[in-house]
Amino acid sequence: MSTDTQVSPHGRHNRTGVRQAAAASLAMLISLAALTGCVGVADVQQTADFMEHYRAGEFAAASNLIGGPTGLDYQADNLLTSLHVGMALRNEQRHADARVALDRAEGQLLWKSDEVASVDDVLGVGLSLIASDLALSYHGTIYEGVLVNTYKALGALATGDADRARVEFNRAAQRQDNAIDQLAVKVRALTASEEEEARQQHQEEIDEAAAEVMDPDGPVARRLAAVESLGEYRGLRNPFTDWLHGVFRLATGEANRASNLLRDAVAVDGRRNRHALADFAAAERIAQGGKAESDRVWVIHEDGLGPRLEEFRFDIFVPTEHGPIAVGTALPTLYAGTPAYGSLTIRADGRSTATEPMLNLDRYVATEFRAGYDGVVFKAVVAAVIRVLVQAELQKGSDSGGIFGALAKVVVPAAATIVTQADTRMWRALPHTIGIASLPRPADGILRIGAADASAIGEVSLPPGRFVIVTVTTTRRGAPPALNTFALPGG
Amino acid sequence: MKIHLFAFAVAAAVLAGCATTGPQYLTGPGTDRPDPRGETVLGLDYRDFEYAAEQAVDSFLSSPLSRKPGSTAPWVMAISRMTNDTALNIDTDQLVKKIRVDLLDSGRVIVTTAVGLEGPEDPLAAKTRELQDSELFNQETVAKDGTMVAPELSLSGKIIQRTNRVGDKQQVDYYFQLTATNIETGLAYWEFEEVIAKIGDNERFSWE
Repeated sequence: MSTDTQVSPHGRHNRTGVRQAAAASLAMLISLAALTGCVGVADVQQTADFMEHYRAGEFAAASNLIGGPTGLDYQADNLLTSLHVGMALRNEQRHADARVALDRAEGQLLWKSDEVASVDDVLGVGLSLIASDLALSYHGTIYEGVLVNTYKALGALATGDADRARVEFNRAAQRQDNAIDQLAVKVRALTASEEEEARQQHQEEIDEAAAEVMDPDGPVARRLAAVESLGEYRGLRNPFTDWLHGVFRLATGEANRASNLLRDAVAVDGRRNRHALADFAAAERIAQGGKAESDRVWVIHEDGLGPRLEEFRFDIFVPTEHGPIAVGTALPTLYAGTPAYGSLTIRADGRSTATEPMLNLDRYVATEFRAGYDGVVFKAVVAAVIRVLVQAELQKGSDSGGIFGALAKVVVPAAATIVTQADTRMWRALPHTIGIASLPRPADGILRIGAADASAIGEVSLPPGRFVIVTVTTTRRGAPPALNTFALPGG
Repeated sequence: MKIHLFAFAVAAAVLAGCATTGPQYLTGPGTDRPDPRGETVLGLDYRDFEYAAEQAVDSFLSSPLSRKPGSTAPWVMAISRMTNDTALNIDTDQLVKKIRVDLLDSGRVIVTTAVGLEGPEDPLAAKTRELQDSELFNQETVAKDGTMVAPELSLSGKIIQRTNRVGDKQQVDYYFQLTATNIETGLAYWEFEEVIAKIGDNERFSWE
């Protein structure tokens, strides 16, 4: 008895069911790809529009563009939006609104290995075979987590809420302490892929393609060298956060804690910043029973715009039975940020001093970017190889016609559009550098602040208080600066 | 029979170990001994505040200076600064209120709400003095000047958090520190510290 004669109406129904299930799966993939692909693409476009205003110092227009008149009328679970709106609102001195935005951001930061892995659970293996990270919601970076809590602490201080500032500083400190372990987890998560089975099946082709991509004279290696030239912060430690936390503890009379934090800051900074060194010396002196700190003013200068990610395209050659097939691929590459003035001069009590850099965002961002880049490249190679081989399989299926074949012709190019776009999302509203100055409070309570090119930034009348912080944001030359002044607790 | 009992004990221990995956209490910082209180959260919850408050009150009441020297009258205590030096958004009043209730019940302490670091907790006591000139009120029922009782003790404190990585886990220690200061002399009449230690996986921060 041959199987042909065994075909019953029931059997035909099963075959039809399989085809319908396959068609339904493909249709779902198209829908998911279309829907989720928009997440990242929309983020990129929104960031570009936002930055047009932000870099011009038009902070109100920037927050209004995304969040309307309240600044907060946007999809609250969008991390990137919250980060950008938070910075615009803080530069508008709308600290309560900025806090809401940055609270939302902190709630969306995903950085732990289990949470990164859970993204796969949501999307499922099927889509991740063909989609890139751009199809996923932005889930932030480790350094962004540290900066979110740092900016939240600054915002709390600006509103006189020392208790909340302390909590935020403690969170930032814990993120800093955890960063090195977290980075190792992140690198492992980037190199591990959900398409492990397919990857093992095509290991030979993947290895061959990867070797060519990582050619030391190739475009990927050249860009990697450029990123490495930006330098790194050992342990992904941010000296500005430690310094700011240190001066807060100095102001609240916790000299021992201040001394430890400032020691960390000057060590990571390489003892270059003379203001931080002076603050550290003062904390040490007081911790050893010396005279209490005299009234002090700290100036924080956030200058220029931080680094950016851009897409660069290149071909990955995938070996197949018909010879190598070139697959157009896109990867993000990191470009250094742009300074505005570099530093500020501050005149007070007839004396002049200048801010000195405490944090270089190029270097800070590059530290995390470089650590995970091999994984990103490898993932792109794996995706390209699997996509070519899956496409070849689907093409065979499409030759026989029918719904499955027709859908294959649609889904593969649609998926390819997503996979060949690099994920260039990042928190763009960060400065290029953060410089600081530490000076005695002038008798007349007046600071005259100018840019390094002698253009005037503004005259600041200090509020009462033993310890005062002045923040100045200059996004680019000629753009209106944002100034904010507030007293620290302890005065 | 002994072998059966041993096997049962091992199986029970393994099962017990497998059954609990959430954060656990430890008997103290620097130890790896689980506390019978069992599963918890890495942050602080009501049980922690209740436990710390009970320990604090027991400690205070066992101190000889919890009784006012040469008097049977209770101490009058003001609440001073209670610093939250953790990464958690917590309300330190949760701790203080429980202590206040238990101290009041002990009969050795009364807390004044008319004096506080940021102003009186209940401003109405002072505000009602404004009724002294009002014809609407029976002046015999209006509180007179010079009747409020000034505090003799000041209660201040701090909750500190220390987090350390232990292998693939994190240990979070919370230090509850309290001091009662004799306002007249500035001397600390009572000092208290209780540590609540917890251990859990390293997949989330304590505040998440």
